[in-house]
Amino acid sequence: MDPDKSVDAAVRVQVYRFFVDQGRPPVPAEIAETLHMDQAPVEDSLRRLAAEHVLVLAPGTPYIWMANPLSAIPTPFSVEAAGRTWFGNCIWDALGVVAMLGGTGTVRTWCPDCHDRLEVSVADGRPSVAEGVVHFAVPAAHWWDNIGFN
Amino acid sequence: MGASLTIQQQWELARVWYADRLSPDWRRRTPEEAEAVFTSMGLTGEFWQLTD
Repeated sequence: MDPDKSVDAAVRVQVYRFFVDQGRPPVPAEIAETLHMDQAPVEDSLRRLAAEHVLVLAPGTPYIWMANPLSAIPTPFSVEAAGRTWFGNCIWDALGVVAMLGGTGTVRTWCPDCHDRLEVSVADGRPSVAEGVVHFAVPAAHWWDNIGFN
Repeated sequence: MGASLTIQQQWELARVWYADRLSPDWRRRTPEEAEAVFTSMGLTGEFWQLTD
């Protein structure tokens, strides 16, 4: 494997392991410590991962904004799963957090139209809600045009 | 305009998309692979198209 690819794979796994374990993404220094690397190559790796849309960094920084399906910042899509509260970047990601963490959890959000609270619980891979729709306004080919908005 | 999914469909899509995200063997899907996921779930047409 290309050495960069090998480093990037290790960095990606460490980002997710830390995030799931600690409830927040690691900063580059924390990744560097765990992987016994210098900080500069960790930041280079994070930038490569961001360029490939594997992670999203806060603009102009090496700090993680999104490790999909997880958001580092609060969003209207909260998830209770695996004993902790998380934030998803959208309803797809919020359900993805539940799926990623074992298939049991609760997503809470608000209807973007009427602002009523909405809740979807999933137990062992089965959602509780029979009704309701999710609407996508932006076609799939353009999702990464503005991932923060979409 | 746009596309709509039922909650059940959105859960299934989320499950297929993210269940293995913590695996060291995970890699990002190619546009072809992503489109194949959409197609397998009946999500077809121009809205879900990622390839030419």
